[in-house]
Formats: sequence, structure tokens, C-alpha cells
Amino acid sequence: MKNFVPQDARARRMATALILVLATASLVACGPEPTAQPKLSIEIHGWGPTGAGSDGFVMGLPDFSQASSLRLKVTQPRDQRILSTETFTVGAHKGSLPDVTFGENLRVDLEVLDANLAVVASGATPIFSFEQGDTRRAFRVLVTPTNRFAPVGSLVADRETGANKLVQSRFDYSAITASGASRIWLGRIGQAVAMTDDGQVLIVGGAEPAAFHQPGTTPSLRQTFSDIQIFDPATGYFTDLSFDDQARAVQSTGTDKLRVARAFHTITPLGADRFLVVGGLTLREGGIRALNSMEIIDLKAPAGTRIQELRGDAGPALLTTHRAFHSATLRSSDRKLIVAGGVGHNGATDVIDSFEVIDIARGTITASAPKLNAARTDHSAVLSADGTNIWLIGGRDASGALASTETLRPEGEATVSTVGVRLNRARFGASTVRLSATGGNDVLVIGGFSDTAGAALSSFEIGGFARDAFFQQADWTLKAARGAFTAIELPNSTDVMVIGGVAATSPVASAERLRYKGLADATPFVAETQGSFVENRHGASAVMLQNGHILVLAGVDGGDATAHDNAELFNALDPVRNRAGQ
Amino acid sequence: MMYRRNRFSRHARPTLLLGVLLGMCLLPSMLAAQEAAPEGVQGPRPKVFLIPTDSVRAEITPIVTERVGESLRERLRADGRIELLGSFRDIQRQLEGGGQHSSATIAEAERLYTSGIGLLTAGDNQRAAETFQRSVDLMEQNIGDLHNFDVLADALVNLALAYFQAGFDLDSRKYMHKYAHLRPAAKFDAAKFPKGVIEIATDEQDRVQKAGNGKLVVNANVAGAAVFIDGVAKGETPVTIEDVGFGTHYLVVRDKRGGTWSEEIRVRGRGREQVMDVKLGEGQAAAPVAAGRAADGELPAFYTDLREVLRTGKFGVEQQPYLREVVGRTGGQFVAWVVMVREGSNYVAAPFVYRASDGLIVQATKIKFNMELSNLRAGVNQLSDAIIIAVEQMPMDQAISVVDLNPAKSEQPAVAVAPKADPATKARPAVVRQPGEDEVIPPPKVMPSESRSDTWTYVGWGSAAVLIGGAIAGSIYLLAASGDDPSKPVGFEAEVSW
Repeated sequence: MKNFVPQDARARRMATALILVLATASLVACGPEPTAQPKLSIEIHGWGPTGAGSDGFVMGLPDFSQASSLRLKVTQPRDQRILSTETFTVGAHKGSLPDVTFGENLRVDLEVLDANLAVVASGATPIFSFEQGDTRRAFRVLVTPTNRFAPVGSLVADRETGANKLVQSRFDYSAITASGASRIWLGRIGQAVAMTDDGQVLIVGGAEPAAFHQPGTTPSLRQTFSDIQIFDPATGYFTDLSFDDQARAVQSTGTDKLRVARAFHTITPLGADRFLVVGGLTLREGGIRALNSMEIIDLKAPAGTRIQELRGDAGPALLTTHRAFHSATLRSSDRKLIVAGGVGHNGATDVIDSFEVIDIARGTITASAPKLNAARTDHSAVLSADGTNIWLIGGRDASGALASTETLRPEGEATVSTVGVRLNRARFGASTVRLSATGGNDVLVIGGFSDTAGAALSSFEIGGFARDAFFQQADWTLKAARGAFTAIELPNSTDVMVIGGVAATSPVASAERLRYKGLADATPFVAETQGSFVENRHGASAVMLQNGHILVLAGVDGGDATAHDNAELFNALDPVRNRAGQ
Repeated sequence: MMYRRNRFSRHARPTLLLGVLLGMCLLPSMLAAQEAAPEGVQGPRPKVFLIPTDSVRAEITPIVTERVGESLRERLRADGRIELLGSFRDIQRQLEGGGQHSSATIAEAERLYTSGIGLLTAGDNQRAAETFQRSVDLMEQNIGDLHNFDVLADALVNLALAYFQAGFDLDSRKYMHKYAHLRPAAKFDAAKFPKGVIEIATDEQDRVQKAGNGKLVVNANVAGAAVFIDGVAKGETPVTIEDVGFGTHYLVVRDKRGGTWSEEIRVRGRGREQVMDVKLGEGQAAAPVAAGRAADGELPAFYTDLREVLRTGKFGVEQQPYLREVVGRTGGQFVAWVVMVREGSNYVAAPFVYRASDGLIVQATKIKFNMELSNLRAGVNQLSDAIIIAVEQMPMDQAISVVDLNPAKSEQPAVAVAPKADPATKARPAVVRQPGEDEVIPPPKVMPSESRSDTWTYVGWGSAAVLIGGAIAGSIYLLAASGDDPSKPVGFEAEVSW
């Protein structure tokens, strides 16, 4: 039989075929092999003991003598959650947290602990997302001693050896160099700062001072700046917005600089990485002039077109009154910007008694009628928790400090001013903080000056939008009197940090922490001195970074010193605590 | 009214006044803000008390159960959807002032009272009622240590108001009656109290007035002990009190050695005599109200008994009295616990949730941990989610009357765990066998040849059967684990070097 196949052989073939088919099917049914676990790598650098008896930048963990262990925490600071935590001995030199849940708004906090588990130094990544599908991310974290200042460092390659090293970061000079400008010093005062959506810091304009600037007087300036520097906390680098890093040149399609160089202006975040720059002082024809122009910074626009004029139907939108040292507050209830007070063309004694309402979407401006209840500048402007009312607090007029306050509130299509409760102490150049512990309804007013000779105040007082008085006690004081400083509420403890400032003609180098005890306490805030600047600086700007450190940049030492073109970080230990009351 | 002592008293009178006003104005809003629900969470979060994790008959080392339990506690605490209460010992310590004195309890009650004022002002009547209720409960449980009865009276009237505004009329009536008994001459601000509440109060005040005073004879085993009614001194034992009105009052007797006796009493009024026999013991701190309280550092018997029952693996509605007691002592609305059992080389964690409002107990989804606990974090996250979902939904189809996690070895395993992804074993899918199934692979029904060697045929059919079984098992396995793709990592590794 031609087609005869022995049964034995047929069975063998069938068996073999079945084995192959089913083996394949079984493998398929078993599913894919597990993929490698995604990894977040963090490299630590630091500022602290170098082992040579002094503090400095260290590649790796500084030689903190008390360091015993290192705690690694994965947190969600905005939600006040700690997702994972683990502690490693310092001697291990590495550690890891496996199976950290994917998520958004994550941050890795690193705490160097002593034998008693007290935190002696810390650092953190910026806030980031790590989603399913991501395979790898890497960060460098600068660890610095707690409750102290440290210079901002960035990693560079040594020109001679090619090895990486940490150096103190400075403003980006590459655009200046590329443009062939003769002056290359970028140290400044009078800059405006704002935070971008991804946690970088915009430093807009400013001026190089020619002499010590006494708050409440007209500054003496050598030059005003039009550049926009961007600080990236993840790297420590400053970058000029106008510089094309790939082409190693200034943007060919435009400048991405302010159209008008200016200082002592305001910058207001509008959302979606758009910012409005208003007024300020500029140097023109040998004199200092107040400005009435406004410019929009749109970081999402194509390179070269990121700076735009604010325009209405009739062309450029201009303030009715030229002004600097004013306040600009975005009224969130109707998205209108309220620009109030300030000084005009004639300098420090030309104090303005008007406010203007700017419809940013339409580019229209409505000057106030009637005007403010008092001409005022160097005041504070605080937006109410509901985004409707703006409280103008203190400040000064041409003759001296003010104790008066007033509230700007919408009334139909108009905005009107109502006289508010008086401060216990007349003050200008004070700092105000809306207290989150009471839902943002109460306001802490700190320090300031009582006269234009620079007599600084150490007192603080507390008022509220619905209160009929400011409250103050004899022992509600800072350790050091100061004005023209920055106060920042820490997000977790709700303590308030007071950074730098001026008293008389000298910078105040120290930082103070106002520890929050509760408003029912006889002393709601208790002051505690925490560290001093690495370099004295007044006229500096301070802003809270996503990693929990406070960036302090620019400013100038007293006297005829050169303004700073660098920055430092203050490590205000404010660990994330679980919202549920851990 | 505020009852905080602070340093404002050191300042001049106008300043004092301002300070007090500041405190009065700011505290409610501050506390309201502190107690506000986290972003994204609607309404008050359910309060959950978590019993420490145990294993059935201690068959798993405590290191494992503690690690799972503590990780679970941490995860639940971090989750904004529930309010996880502290451990039993912590709560007990807090309420008893570290076991030394219950003045801390009174302070806590006063804090809750001020918090309730804030919530009431903010219009959160439901939470205000819960907060006032807790405050009143604490004060009543520690009445022997309460000196300022104005706080209690104020808490009662505000509790009644909060209940009324939250729609709980009967509760409102109950506490307004108590208030009327304590303050029969009180007037009510029509701007604050709704008409209905005022009517309840004034009706009861009329009743108190019409009933007249009762006659209370207080005898004690200690002569000369001070007698207080609602915080007001009424003489020394033995004493006859004739000016106590109809209704609920608080009787406290203190001897000179620190012994205290306290009780909530019901005075009948109309001049009728009631005799109270007080037993003051040596060194007695507070009796009979707090007599059942455990000594410092010890856990009460009901709690240790409950844990002992849970460790047997067999429990259910019979344990409701224990669970109710836990709720009463901790202030939780839910009690959750996890019992672990060993299954082969793995651990299985079975979570349970008890709801105080109706006594329902549900068993949530079980979670499997491998022996090395390398999947601890992912497993704890799942366990946490399972408990939270159970708290939120209390699904009736998961309700239990009794459960046995540790049946006899010969019986079908009670903890039926769906096959889960396990990287170590999934390359070798095991054949799933049913109980009683023969391990021998049966020969094919049609024998190919009687005269020739059947070896290859048997190998072929046998292999096919094994592989078909494997394929089926793999499919079932993957279907059962659908949504839990083992090839996808459950998280990432955070690695740091220094």
C-alpha cells in the first residue's frame, strides 16, 4: 500500500506535533515574562563639612559628624501623604525602596539623621510623576544642613581635568557674552520673581544699584535689566530665556527679553505659564522713570515670541498712571488685575492715590474713580480667601508710614474702596502672610519700617478680613527688627519663615522661624533665630521651591558692595506629615 | 463660652478683653479649618479603629503579622478617605491622661466642645453633632473630674441644636431635656435657636417647674465627704438636699483622701425622697462610672478576649458585644481587623470590617503575601483599598454571620485564594486538581494496537493531556488574575546612592 504508514510511526508523528503545538500554546497561555522594575535613581550631593575642616560642596554626602542614618521617604507633599519610608545606615552608601506605587505629584525626601533620629541635614527632589510605563528617572539632590543657609550649587565639568565638580551657581551670562555687551555683571536688586508651573523660578528684570538703597527712598541705579533668568531647582542652573542652548547664541527669531528694562515692577502669574509684568522703574535719558507699560511672558509660546505687549483693541494697553513700588493682585473671582498705589515719575515723594483695574483678556484698563482713601506705596495687598476682596495694608505716603488699611471690592461693574481697621502700628515695607491655619481668613503683618530713615520694627500683629481690629501683644515680636524682607508660610507646619531684610542702613543677615502655636494661644507665633546668610544680601527675593527649600537670590550687601548674581538656599525643615494626623 | 486658661490674664484689662475676643472669634474658625475634610473628600470621613493584625493560632511568626499590620496602619493613615484612629492603648492613654488622671479627658472634652462650636458655626451640623456627642460622653464618663459644669451645659444645648439642624429630632429632644434640667431658667436667643428647639426647651423647663424639687438623701460609708450636685456644693455626708429640681442631674461625692464617687441621677421631683448610698473606696479615683476602666498599661479584658477570639479564626456576629464595646471606647464608627493564615509557603490576609450603626460584619477581599514579603507594599496597598472599599460600601454579599478561617485539615480549605501572579512560579503553571481527582493520567479510550509497543502513543497522548491541562490551567489562571497582569510592574524602585 502506497500510502501505508505504520501505526507506530503515525502515533510518534502525532505525538511530536501535539507536543510542539501545545508547548507553544502553553507558553503563550503563561503570558509574558515580567518586565524589569522601573527605577528612580537619586544621586546625592551636598553642602556641608568637607572633611578638611570647613564647609563646602561635596560630591556625595558631606561628612556630617552626627550623621548616623539616612531616611528615604517617598511623599506626595501637596496631598500631605507619606507613601513609603525606609532608613539606612550612612555606612551603607546606598539604599532603595522597592515597589513604590506609581503616581503623580511625588517627591523623594532624604533626611540625614543623628543617633537620636533628629534630622541634621536634608534634601528633596522636585515634584515629579512616575507613571506605569515609565522606565527610568534620575535626579540629583543637594543635601544641606537643616535650619541653615547654603549656596546654590550646580555640577560642571572642570576645564582642566574634565572631571565633574560642584560650584556655586551664578546667573547665566551666555546671552550677555553672545550679544557682545560690554557690561557683564548681572548682580541686581529690584527684580521680580515668580514660579512656573513645573517649579522653576523666573527672575525678571531688576537693576544694578549704584548705592545702598534705603527703602522708602528713590533708588540710585547703574543699569536696569531686561533679561529673564530661569532657575531650575533640579540642576541648580540659571538659564537666560533669550539664549538658545543648542545654537549657543541669542535666539535668532527674537529676543525673549523684556521690551523695556525695568526694576521694582511687579509680576503676576496668570496661569498656564503666563505672567503679567506691570510698571516699574527704568533708566532713560540719564534719569529714573516710572513706567506705565505692561508685558506678558508666555513660556508656552514659541521661542523668540515669549514676551508680548499687553494689547487691547486700540493698541498697547498702558496704565493710566506711571508707577513703581505698587501692588498688583489678580482678583481670582473675575480674573482682573488690580494695580494699586506706588510712586510716580517724581520719585519717592510722588505717592499715588489711585488704583487701576485691568481686564487682561480684553486689554482694557479702568482707572479708579473715586480713588484710594489714602495715597500709599510700599504697602501690602492681600487677596481674600474667596478671591473677591483685596486688602491694602499700611504702607507710606509722602510724609511717613501709614496705619490705615482699605479694602478694594467689586460693586457691580465697578471696584470701590472701603476704609478698613487700623494697624496698631504704622508701618511700611512690612511682610504679610495669609494664614492657612485659619482658612486664609486671617493675616499676619510682620515688621516693616516706621519712618523713611529706616527705623525697623520687630513687632507683628494679626488681623482678619472679618475682624474689627488688629491684635498685638508686647511679646509678639521678632528677634531682630527688620523691614523689606520676605515672609513665607511653611506648608506643613504652618510656621512662618522670615528671611533677611534691612534695619536702618544695614542688611539683616538672619532668618527667623515664627513657630505657630495656634491663634488661641497667648503668643500665637514664637520667634526663633535660624541661621544667617552665607553672603549678606538685602533687596533679595525669596521663594519656596517644590523641594521644600527656600531660594534666596540676588540682593546686595550694605554700602557700596556689588550686587549678587548668585543665590542660596535655606533649609527650613518642614517634613511632610500625613494628613490623617500621623 | 471659652474655658481655656492662657497668659492673657497677665495683661491689662483692655488687652485681656481683646485677647479673649480674639480667641473667641478665631478658635471656632481655626478649629473648623483644622477639622475640615481633606480636598476631594465629600463630607466627614468615617472613623475606623483598626485592631492589630494577628494570625490564626499563631501559626505565623509575629514579625510577619506586625509588619503587615503596621504597614497597613501606615497606609490607611495616609489615605484621605478614612480617619484612622490610634491604637487602643493610645486612645486609652489619651483619655486617661497617661493613666494618671482623667483631667486630660476633660481637657479633650473641652477641646472637642470648642471644635464643635466651630463646626456648628460653619454649618457642618452632622460633624458638629458627632463632636459635641463625643465631648458630652467624655464629660459624663468622667463627671467626677469635671469642675466647670457650664461647659457640659453648653455642650448639651449645642449638641441639641446640632442634632436638630442635622435632622435628628429625637436626639435633639433628649439632650435639650437634659439641658433644661440643668438650666431650668435659661433663656434662648431666637437668632441662634430655631423655634422648634426653643419650644422643646421651654416645654421641658415648664415641666421642671411644675414638678418642683425632689428630696435627695445622700449617705456614704465615709462621713464628711463633700457632696456636689451639678458641680454645686450641697454639704457633707450624710446630707439631705431639698433644692434639687426634677430631671437629670450629676451627683459627685468626694472624700478628703481623694476618693470620688459620681453618678448621673434622675430626680423625680414633687418632694419625693430618694436615698443614695455612696461607697467611697480607699484611693478610689472615680466610681462607679470608671470602675471598669483598666489600670494604666493594661488592656481591658473585653479587648484582649476579642483578640483571642479573632486568633482562633472562627468568629462572627457573636462577637458584636465586644465590637460594640470597642466602638464605645474608641469613638470609631467602624472596626477593621485582619487575620492571617498560612497557605503553603504563602500568607493570606483576610480583612474584616464591622459597622457600628447596624452591627454588620463584612469580609473584604483576601490578599496573598509571599513568604519573603517582597510584595509587602503592593499587598498592603491592596489590603488597605479592600478595607476602605468595605467601609465605604459594606456590600451585603460579603456580609458574614460566622467565618472559620481554620477548619480541620481534612476539610476543604476555607480560604480559597484565586491563583495570583507569582513571578517565581508562573513559568511552571501547575495543574489544577479537584479534590479526589486521580493523579494517574488515564490511558486513551481507543487503544491504537494491541500487538505493537504503545510507548510513543502513551507518551504522545499523555503529554497532550498534561499540556492541555496546563493550557487550561494557564487560561483559568490568567482569567482569574485578569486586571492584575503579572508582566506589569506594580510600582517602581527608588534607589539612592551617596
